[in-house]
Amino acid sequence: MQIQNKVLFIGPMGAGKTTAIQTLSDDVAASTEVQNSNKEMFNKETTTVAMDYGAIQLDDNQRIHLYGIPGQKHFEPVWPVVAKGAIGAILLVNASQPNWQQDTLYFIKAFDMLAKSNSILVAANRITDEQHDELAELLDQQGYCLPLLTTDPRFHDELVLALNILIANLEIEISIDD
Amino acid sequence: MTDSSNPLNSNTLKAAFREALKSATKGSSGMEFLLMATSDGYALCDTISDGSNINRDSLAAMAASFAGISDGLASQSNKPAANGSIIETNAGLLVCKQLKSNRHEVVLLGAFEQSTNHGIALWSLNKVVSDVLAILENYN
Ligand SMILES: Nc1nc2c(ncn2[C@@H]2O[C@H](COP(=O)(O)OP(=O)(O)OP(=O)(O)O)[C@@H](O)[C@H]2O)c(=O)[nH]1
Ligand SMILES: [Mg+2]
Repeated sequence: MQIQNKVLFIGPMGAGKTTAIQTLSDDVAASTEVQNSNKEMFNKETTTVAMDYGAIQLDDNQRIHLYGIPGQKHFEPVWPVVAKGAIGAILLVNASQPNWQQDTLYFIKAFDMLAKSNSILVAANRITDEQHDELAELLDQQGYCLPLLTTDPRFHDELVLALNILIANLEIEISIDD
Repeated sequence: MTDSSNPLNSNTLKAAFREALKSATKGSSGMEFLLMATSDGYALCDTISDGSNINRDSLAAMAASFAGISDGLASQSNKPAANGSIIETNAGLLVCKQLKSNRHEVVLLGAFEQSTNHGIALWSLNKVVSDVLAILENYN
């Protein structure tokens, strides 16, 4: 039997959501990129305005549909639309950004339902060892027990590992709930 | 929006857009309001009345998202990029247009009264589109 599930990629502008979905997807991912007019916020050519979509056959009987949100805060009303039906999320953190700690907590709170059921995996990039410890502590202080990885969104195998850990964690959560 | 390096932030350019939008709304009876935003969802100008409870910034973001989805939908259907799209509501039409010059991408949203049909709505909006494009080209 084929199991089909939806996983969300969340996080602020430039965290690597679009990059991750393009890296992971078996076929060319669909995107809604437009010219970035706010290079002060993050200096890159394009930004997502509605969603990213891709899909990966994780194993013989498991197909994961990958959805990315537009990270800029003015798109917040779009987030629940894209998130509908997702079993879990990968929260991308770019620790080279000035307000990465606040941004991380902002997204965890915005996806509170998933965070409360421990259905979020935090995948940090551009992060130092000290920042990694700081992030672990931050999550702990806030009472979240979420898996934390260092993942480069440009590398397929690292993302597959993150996805597998998220799914395994969800299965544990579900069996604990039972 | 704080990016001063973005030419769309130029006050003269915004003023020119605002004039174009204002005169279009005045000239067309069925037009409720017009809103212009950058393609990545920052409000540029609009003709929404001051007392209205519409949140301009959210509307700008939604218009950009909708335009982005329209483009994605067109491309998934093997069509070239969308030029515009229509939302039909019981209280009138919303029409969204994507405008591109060499350097800038903007989204124009027009809201129409219930009595305005598709043809009139598109015709009225297309008139604004050419004014806005002329301004964009001039400021390039
Ligand atoms: N050096 C470095 N660059 C990275 C890494 N991960 C992602 N990037 C780069 O960071 C940028 C991320 O951009 P996107 O993938 O568009 O970011 P996004 O999260 O989709 O952003 P929005 O759609 O604007 O919300 C890309 O240019 C990536 O190549 C990393 O681990 N190291
Ligand atoms: Mg993106």
